[in-house]
Amino acid sequence: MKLKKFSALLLTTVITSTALFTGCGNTKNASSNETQNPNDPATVTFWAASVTQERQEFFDWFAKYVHEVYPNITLDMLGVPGNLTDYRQKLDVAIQAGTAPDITNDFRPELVTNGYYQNMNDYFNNWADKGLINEQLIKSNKTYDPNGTGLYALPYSSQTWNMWVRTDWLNSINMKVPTNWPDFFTAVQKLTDKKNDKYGLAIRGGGGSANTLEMLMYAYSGVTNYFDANGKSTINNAKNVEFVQKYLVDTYNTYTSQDDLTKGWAELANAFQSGKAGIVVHNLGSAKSMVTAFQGDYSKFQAAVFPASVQGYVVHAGLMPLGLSMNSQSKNKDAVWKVMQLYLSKEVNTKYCQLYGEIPANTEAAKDSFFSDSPYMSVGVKIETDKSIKFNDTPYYLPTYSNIQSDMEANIQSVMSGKMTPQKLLDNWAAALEEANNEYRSQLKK
Amino acid sequence: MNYKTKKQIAKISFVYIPLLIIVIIVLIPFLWALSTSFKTLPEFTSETIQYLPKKLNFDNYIFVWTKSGFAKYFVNSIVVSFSSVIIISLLCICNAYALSRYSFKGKNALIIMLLGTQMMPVILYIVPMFSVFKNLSLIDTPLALIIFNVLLQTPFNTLLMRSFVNAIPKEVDEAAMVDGAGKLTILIKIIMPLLKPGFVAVTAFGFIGCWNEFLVAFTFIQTQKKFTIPVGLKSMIGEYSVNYPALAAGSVIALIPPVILFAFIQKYLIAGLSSGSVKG
Repeated sequence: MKLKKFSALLLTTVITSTALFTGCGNTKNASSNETQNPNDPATVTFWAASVTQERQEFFDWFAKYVHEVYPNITLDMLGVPGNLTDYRQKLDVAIQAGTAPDITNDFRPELVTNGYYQNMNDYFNNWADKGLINEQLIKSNKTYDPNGTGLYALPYSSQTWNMWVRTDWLNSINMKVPTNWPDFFTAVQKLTDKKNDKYGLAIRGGGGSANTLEMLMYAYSGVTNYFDANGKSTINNAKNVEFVQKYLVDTYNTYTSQDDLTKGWAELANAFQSGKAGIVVHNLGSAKSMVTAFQGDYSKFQAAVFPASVQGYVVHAGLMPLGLSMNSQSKNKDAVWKVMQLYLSKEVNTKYCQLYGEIPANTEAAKDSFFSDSPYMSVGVKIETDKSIKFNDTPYYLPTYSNIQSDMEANIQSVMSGKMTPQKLLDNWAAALEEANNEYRSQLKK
Repeated sequence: MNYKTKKQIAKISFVYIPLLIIVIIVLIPFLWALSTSFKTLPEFTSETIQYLPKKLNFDNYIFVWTKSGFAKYFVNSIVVSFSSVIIISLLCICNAYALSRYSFKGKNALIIMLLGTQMMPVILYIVPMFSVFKNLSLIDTPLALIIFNVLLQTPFNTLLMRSFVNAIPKEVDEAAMVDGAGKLTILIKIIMPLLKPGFVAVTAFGFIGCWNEFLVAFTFIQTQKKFTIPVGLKSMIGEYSVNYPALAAGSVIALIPPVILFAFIQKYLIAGLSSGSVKG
């Protein structure tokens, strides 16, 4: 009898808990909306990448703002924590299962070719405020379309890379922020005080090393084209090899800490902010953490453009395409577009870019004094507007471009540890880029 | 130096000192995290290393608990982990009893299959299970995590529990049968009370596995308020910066339930693990 009671109790518990747990969740099809009527209630799903608490507050505010402006639209906002790799893994699984969101903010060329993104040319061309969006960024985003015409992401900002330098350290050795590479290497040497565990430079040898090294070597050589007329990669040109020799072989472990071999950005930032390194290379996205770490004391640090190349002019990496993309399977594209338009409005764009340390795509927002007057954002504005600064044609459009960079990271560590020559590294790199480029071109012909 | 003194010196040199070193190695990261959790960000990034915070500052705990949503994540983790562990334990007892007491065709193959599931990385299951769960309308529900946890944890824990059931002599079952007890009665009234150490071991392993599970929770949950603690901890790691003091505070909070659990079950766990290891 007792046993029967136990079995009945167990069964009831299982059924009740099943009902409870499934009831707790609304199993949503992320991009599902049953309506196409613009006045009907609509829910738009938006997954934002690499969201921290501070960023989540912005997105929560934006979701409320959307509802205020469009009372029939509810923005179901998910701030995905973690890095871009985590975000991509989550999104890829959702795409395969058909539960991907309506809006994403990590623009990837492979998702253009696999049809996940919606071509937004029609929406954009019919938008009254399209003239406010930075034309260069529209052009840059269109490079992800193999035909070069489709707009698969609405650009909301641009991000420039720069050096972060300890101005107080440079002052102590009577040097100014280096504006050419000989000065750069001299400063690195002079700032190093190994006995006190202080180094002139921190080199990124861990995750993301290839990206940084690539833009620095081109900044040194002054070469602005990645491929010559015959499709040969320029990455292994003599000046790039010379730079890698100076940077990874001669400087690493002599004027840098040995553990730079495995440093990613978080470790690099720690080295800089805790007084272990005098110069690091990153983008303006890290500005907020710099200001916080140095408690707003701008006498200690500053952002600076890259030193002038051996050709005499400054070269920066081409602006990476980024923007909001629309899911091509979205059931309520008009509502999605309204949310995107609002995201690009002056108010939202300004707020977003102040938080993220990026330069607004909305040209009205870019006029905000924050961007021209801020000690660090003004550097980004200078990089983008100074006619003497050149950008190279970084092939972000190659679907395997970031994979090649990831593949090269182990080779970079081999060079740092003396197991590979710079020439060999760059020859391998050139071969990989050429193969990817040929593959891309042959796909275009089909 | 007499024999007794020599023996004591040898014991100190070869047992206590190595053990002390191991304890220090194990404790240092924990103590470091604890110390960091009470530091302010400027203290943490200070040019001179500070081993201890200047004062006990609870701001990081308040930040993660209130602003970062850890209060919600904590409850979610508790619900998912405890529910999973209850199901895992029940299933493991039944599975282990069957594998220990019954002979049936394909038993060895089943045991190898259970072992085989442990060799495959979880990421391999993610996409097919996501599609299955989507069709069952389970995506973005705690039940999805519970089912997945049960699927992941049951095979290993079944094999662990089997060794405990094997350690109970079959004569105990037979004596009960002579007294008229059925199989279910034997399992519930005779075997289960004797399996206390095994139950504790399975609970401990199962709970830790469920509590720390990240990949499935990160992939299957699509609403922030349903995140679990390991996913929530990720929000301390930004794209360009890491809030280490807050991350440390979050980690310390995440440690509390396992520490409490282990404090309660420690004596059973040690007895359970040793008995399971020698009788199989």
